[in-house]
Amino acid sequence: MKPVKSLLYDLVLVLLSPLYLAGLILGLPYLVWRWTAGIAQTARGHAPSYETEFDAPREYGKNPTPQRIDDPAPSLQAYIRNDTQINSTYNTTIDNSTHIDNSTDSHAQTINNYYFAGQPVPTQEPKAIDATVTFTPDEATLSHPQSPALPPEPAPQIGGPEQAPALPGQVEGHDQEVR
Amino acid sequence: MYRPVILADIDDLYRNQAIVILAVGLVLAVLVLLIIVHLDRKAFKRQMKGLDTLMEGTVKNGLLHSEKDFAAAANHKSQVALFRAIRLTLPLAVIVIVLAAILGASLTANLGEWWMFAKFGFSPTMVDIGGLRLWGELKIGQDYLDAIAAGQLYLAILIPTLNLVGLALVLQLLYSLQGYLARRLEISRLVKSGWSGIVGGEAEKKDSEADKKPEDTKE
Repeated sequence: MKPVKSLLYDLVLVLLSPLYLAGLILGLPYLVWRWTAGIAQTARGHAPSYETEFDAPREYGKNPTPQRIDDPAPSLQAYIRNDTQINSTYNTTIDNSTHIDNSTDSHAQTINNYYFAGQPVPTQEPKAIDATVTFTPDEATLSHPQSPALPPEPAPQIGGPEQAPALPGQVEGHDQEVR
Repeated sequence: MYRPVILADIDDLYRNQAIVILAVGLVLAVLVLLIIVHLDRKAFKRQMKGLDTLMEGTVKNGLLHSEKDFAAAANHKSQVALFRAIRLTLPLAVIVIVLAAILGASLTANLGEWWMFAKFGFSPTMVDIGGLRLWGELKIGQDYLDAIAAGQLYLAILIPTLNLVGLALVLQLLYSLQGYLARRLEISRLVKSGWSGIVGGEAEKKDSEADKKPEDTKE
């Protein structure tokens, strides 16, 4: 029964084949457009590649390694650019010349604000920032120069800056580098 | 003395012959089309499964989190596959077609002469039956044979060769376009039915199991 059905199906397709062929021929301009776009990309030095944002970099002879799930989360530094805004109140940016006034704003608060600005939350303890940040201590810090670092808090959860974790090396002294 | 008995005049002979040629031609055409359609259906399925090969590594990576991710990655890869398939074929087809047109226009006196070489000199005797002009006798035209005898053999080879190469390249382009359509259909099917099973051919296994008859599964 199945071969008969298949044969009948083929016969119907034979009758429809001129329409199908005409449809394919009408699609030829799309091929020209796709070819032109591909050649233009190649000319700009970005030849069309199968790689997508969902593909891990491949090493020769090895299976692709997952990045987004199993690999350690990228450090905070990976997320911060020179124009990254880390404090919506003061509209500050962080770079090598960033100066955070500790008397008016907690730098821990400032940096944690960054995490809740819609960026992916790292699953592991972030590494230190490779940028020189100077702090102006407030009076309380000056009166207790040996005050210990803030105790670590639980892993960051989206919900507000007050729940954010403290970064290692925060509030440890005067004019200190966070590294 | 032997005298042949003429059963029918030459027109009747051509008329009968035309009906036979028409019938045989129709049967052969349907058979050839059936074979082509059948093979093309298989090719279409194979082209649909080509998406699995393209996407298997990406799915294994575990970086796809939604149908939207899958569709985006699959569409990108499908477009790249289409570009790679036509990257050389398209310019080659254009070159061959332009070359055939230029040579045809410059080497032959008119379109009729070009057509004579293009169809290998095939020049059937036409018969009028009920308003239809049918082939009464299949033969090679005398003009074609004369042209070859006059030293135009190169045209008899060059023109059909260019035409056939151009046709093959255009068919290759259409096949690539069909592959793109097949992958688009497969993408929309997998987005609806679930795409995680394409790793290790599990989706194919599921399909084949679904195709099995109930009595087959009981056994």
